[in-house]
Formats: sequence, structure tokens, C-alpha cells
Amino acid sequence: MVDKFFDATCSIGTYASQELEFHTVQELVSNMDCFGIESAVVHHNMAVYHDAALGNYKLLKEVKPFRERLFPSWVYEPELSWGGNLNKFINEMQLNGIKAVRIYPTAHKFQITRWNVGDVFDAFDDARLLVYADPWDIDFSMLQSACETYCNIKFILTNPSYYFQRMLYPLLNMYPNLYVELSTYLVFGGIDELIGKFGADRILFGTGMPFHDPGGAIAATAYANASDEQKNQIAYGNLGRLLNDVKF
Amino acid sequence: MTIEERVRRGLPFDNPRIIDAHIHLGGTTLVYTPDISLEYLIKSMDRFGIEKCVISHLAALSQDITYGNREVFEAVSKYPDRLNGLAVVNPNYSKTRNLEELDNWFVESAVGIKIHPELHGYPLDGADYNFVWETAIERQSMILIHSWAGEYYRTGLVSKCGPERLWTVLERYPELQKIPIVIGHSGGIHEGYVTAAALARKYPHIYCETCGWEFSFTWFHRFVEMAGEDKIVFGSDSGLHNPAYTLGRVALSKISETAKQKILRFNMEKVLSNLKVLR
Repeated sequence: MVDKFFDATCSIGTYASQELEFHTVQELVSNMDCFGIESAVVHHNMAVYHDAALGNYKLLKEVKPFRERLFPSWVYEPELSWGGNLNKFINEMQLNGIKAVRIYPTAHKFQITRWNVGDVFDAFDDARLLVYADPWDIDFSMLQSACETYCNIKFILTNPSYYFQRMLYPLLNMYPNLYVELSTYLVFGGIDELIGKFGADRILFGTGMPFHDPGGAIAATAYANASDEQKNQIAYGNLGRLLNDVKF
Repeated sequence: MTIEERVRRGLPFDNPRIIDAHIHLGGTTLVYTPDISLEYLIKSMDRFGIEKCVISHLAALSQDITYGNREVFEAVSKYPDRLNGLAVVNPNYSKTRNLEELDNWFVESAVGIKIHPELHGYPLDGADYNFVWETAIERQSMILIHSWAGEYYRTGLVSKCGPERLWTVLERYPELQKIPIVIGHSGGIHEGYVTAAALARKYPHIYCETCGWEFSFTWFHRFVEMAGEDKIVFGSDSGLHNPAYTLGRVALSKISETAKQKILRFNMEKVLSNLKVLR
């Protein structure tokens, strides 16, 4: 049986296409309590869909009363409004304890290449940050190149779906800095095979709240063909270890 | 032990055991699945406490109806107490060929018909599906429909399998109102959920099914409010999907224990026990 859960991915903020189950930080915490989730890495939907900088700072303000349980994750885009001041950006992250970043290269129209974001990713690499990418939004060749180039960054494939195993498995095999988050890893027999082939330490429990109700990921962890020790690694141990390793 | 406690411990259901309205045998080139054997499927059903299911073959949906249907009914003959077979038809083939296919499998053991308007590229309310409705009425069988609402992404093309197309079909065939129809995936996205729930509320023999929820962004207790606890049946999409996800979504939702039991077993048990399939 799993002792506790540390949610690798959830968000606050509204969503234009649909009224979600909740959107405030208080509602997030209340649902975490309801489902027995102790802590979570959280980002703001405003940073994904409207304005990264505005959403990132709004996130900080909103999670402030819950910082013992909520770990803020910023959305990164090659933000020209930083005026190219990389040091200021990285200092702000460090000052605010940002250990995880989400990227949307397709939606936000950039590439993880040296000429486009090399200086920032070098800084992420130095800090050993967690960088989340969604397979619906990132080209797998770009992900491969990023895993290879920035081997201290922990890349986390979030919202992984059941479509991408033929590209995911070779990458997991080649790059120990790639991890899979479970919110939508629906593959029939997939979690058991991931554990068998790559180890439980490459898998992170995540819910995707408020888009998804958390029961699915909780049950997927509980029914994994794994020891209690492995289930606890997935449920909270791996994420805690990765965050502790960040140099901020 | 409550249903939630059982799921949190990763235990198989035993009281009641689950009836699954949507399971597949076989694989598909569209996605990778580690083990597509019948033995693994049965083992998976045991692990979750799925006593019985309604099953169709992915090959019949994606390529060869005769091959896929034969495979599924051979499996049914091996596990007659666990598997209820659906015969898949394809509207791109002649009515004669489809009716021959249905004759074969209804004589064997089919409990109904499965259609997949998306994979077959033919609209749910098109005339070439009329034989499906007529056969189901004639044989008093059930129908499982793959449904998904909305427009195809950035194409402006309207889905061929949106549940809204069922309104037309039900007007065309009033007797179909007495036939159990399971709306697979309940229309997939939220817009589809709304329509599927409205259909289930209006027609006593129409049921919404639970798998493929990940695009709906609708929490399960909300869907129960929309469709009603008597009109939703559990479906896992096993063979493609890990049943734990849909099971957990139902088991940990903010609905009553009785509602969970109905959805996980009793609603589908009612559908199957009321079938009087004419061979």
C-alpha cells in the first residue's frame, strides 16, 4: 500500500475552452486533502495560455500560503521581455525557489536548440532543474537532442498518453535523465513494462488536476505490479529525490 | 471494505465483481501494447476483479472483420463465462457480406454488434448503417458504438461518430428505443458527454460508457450528475488501456457506494440479463 502521494503535475487558473472542476489554489489544496495527496508541483494556466511572466508571478502570489505543500513550477518561453537579461531571470528563479519548469515548444513556437535557448538551458543544466514537456507539444527528435545535450536536466514527459511508446522506449533506454509522469499513461500493461524495463525510479506519480480527476493515477499506482517500496518510489520518493538534487 | 479502500490497496473486486462493457482482444499498429494475448487479458481481468466483459477484436475494427470476429468468438468459446462477444461490421462492405458475417456470429454466441464509424470513415447516421439497427431490432441484441464528438483538430471536419448523430437514427427507427445501446467513450470530449448524457436521460435503454475519459476534462461525479447513476456502465478499453485508470476514476469519485456498485456491475448486468438474442 502506498504511504503518501506527491503529485508531479497539477495546475491552478482557468481554461478558456471549458469550465474546469476548480481553478483556485484553495480548491486545489482541498482536493489534495480529499484524495490523500500530501504535496504537489503546481503551475499556473495563465502562464501556459496567456502570458508566461504574468502567470508565473501570479502563481507565486497564490501559492504563498501553502508553500510547505506546493512547489511552484514556472512556464519558460524565450521571453524577450526579460530584455535578454539571463542572470536576472535565473536569479528570480533561484530567489523564488523554482526547481521545475514547463516548456511548450510547439505552442509557444521555439526550439530547444543552442541558437534559440542555449544560454538558458545551460543555466537549467547547471542548476539540475526539472523540465516538463508534453509529447503532444514536443517533437521527439528535439527531446532526444535536449536529453543528450543537457544531461543534468531531468526531463519529465508529462501527460504521456498511450500513443508514443515506440519513440519513448528508445529514449528511456538511452537517457537516464528522462522520466515519465503517470497522469495519462494509459497503456495496457504499460506501467508494469516500464518498471520491468527501466525501473520504478524513472516513473513519477502525477494527476493533471484540475483537468483530470486524480483517482485514475492513484489506482494506476496502487495496481502496479510492483513491491510496496517501488510503489512508494513512484508515489512520492522519486519526485522528492529529483527536487532535492536541484542546485537552487 | 469500501470500494475506494479496495482500489487504494490495489485489490481485485470480489463483492460485487465488475462487469466491463468495453474490452478488446488483439492489437493495432496504431499504438504499442506490451502483451495482446488472450491469456494476459484474462490475467488482467482477474487482477482487477472483472468477472465478465463485452469484447470485440481490434483487427475487426482496423482491418479484417472476418479474421477479427473469428478470433474473438474462439476466445469466447474458451471462456464462455467471462467473455460476451460482439460481432464487428464494416459499412464499407456490402450489406450482404455484413449480414452473412452477423448470421455466422449470432448463431455462434454474439450478444450484439460493435461499430466504429471513425475507423471505418463512415457517419454513424449514414444509410449504410441501417442494416445494423434493423438487425439489432430483429435479433434483440445490444449495440456498442465508438463515439467521439467535435471537429477534427484544425480541419473543420465534423466527427463521423459524434453521439448527436444518434438522435436522427432513433427518430428513423423508433423500435430502436427498446434495444440496449452503449455509447462507447460517452462521446469522448466534454461536448460529447453532454449529448451522450442527454440521450441516456431521454431513452431508457441507452447507456453511457466510461473509458477514454482523458480528453473530457470532466470529473466523474459531474458526469454522474449529468447522465444519472443508473445510465452509466463501466468500460475499461482493456487491450488498449490500463483498466486501473477508469476504475480509479469511478472508485474514488464523490458519489455514493451504491452508485459505484451500479456503474461497476449492476447496470451492465441488467443490460446483459435482459438480452434475448435471437439466434
